Amino acid sequence: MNLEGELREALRREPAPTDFTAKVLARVAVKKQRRVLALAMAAGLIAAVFIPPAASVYHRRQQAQEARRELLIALSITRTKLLQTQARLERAALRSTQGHTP
Amino acid sequence: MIKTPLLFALAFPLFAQQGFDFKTLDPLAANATDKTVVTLDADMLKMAANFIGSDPKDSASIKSLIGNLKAIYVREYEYARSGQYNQADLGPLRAYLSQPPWSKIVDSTEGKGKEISEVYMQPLPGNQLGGIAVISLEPKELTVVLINGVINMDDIGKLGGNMGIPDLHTLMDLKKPEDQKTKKKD
Repeated sequence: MNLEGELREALRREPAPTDFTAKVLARVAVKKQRRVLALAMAAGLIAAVFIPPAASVYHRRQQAQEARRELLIALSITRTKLLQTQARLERAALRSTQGHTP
Repeated sequence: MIKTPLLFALAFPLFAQQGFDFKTLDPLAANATDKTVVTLDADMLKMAANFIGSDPKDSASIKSLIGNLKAIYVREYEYARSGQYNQADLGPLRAYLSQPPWSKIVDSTEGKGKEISEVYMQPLPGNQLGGIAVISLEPKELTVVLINGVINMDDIGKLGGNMGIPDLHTLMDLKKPEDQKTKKKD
């Protein structure tokens, strides 16, 4: 075969296999699935790394707020009761100086 | 032979210093219409102290005051009618506070024994307290406060401005005339 014939043979138009389109689409779909899976895994990893500490910080903040609220209530009650005691003692001292019995 | 009583004698003050079991006060809550229960241990107090530091509204004195505290317990019960609590339920607490290092500094009774105020302290050298406890009884209200840990009297004084807590020295000074009166009677 001469060169011209060989070239013609090599460049001869051949019809695509019947399942060519399906195969290409399937490979594209697999690639897409892999990408989605990789993205989902990355998102999961980020969530696993960052969400628990954030939740813990939020929980601790809530606890601290509650502790602060309880502390202020406790100090307020202590204040009220000590002032009440002071007032009672003042009344008792007054009665004592006036010579009255309680 | 001698070791057992000696160990007991050594251990007794340790038992006496152990914390009070506030569950013994639970019967007082049985008929209460309103309850305020505060239990803050050292960790919670530290947490609260950190939070107070970030709030400009709160005084630095409060942070300083609670810095060395081990615990704060408050039990406040309000009743619809008088006579709905039994004073005997306070027996274990009074027994605990009657032991060293606690010292009763105020015992005030008014209204024919219906209104009682008791203040206990743990005196420490250097203008400090190891703790303070308050028992306040009224016909329809009962309050118990127990604060454990080192309290600087000056810090309490500083709180006077924004918290209105009276100077504890004043309480002790006010107690004196009544003591003298009692002594005269004797």
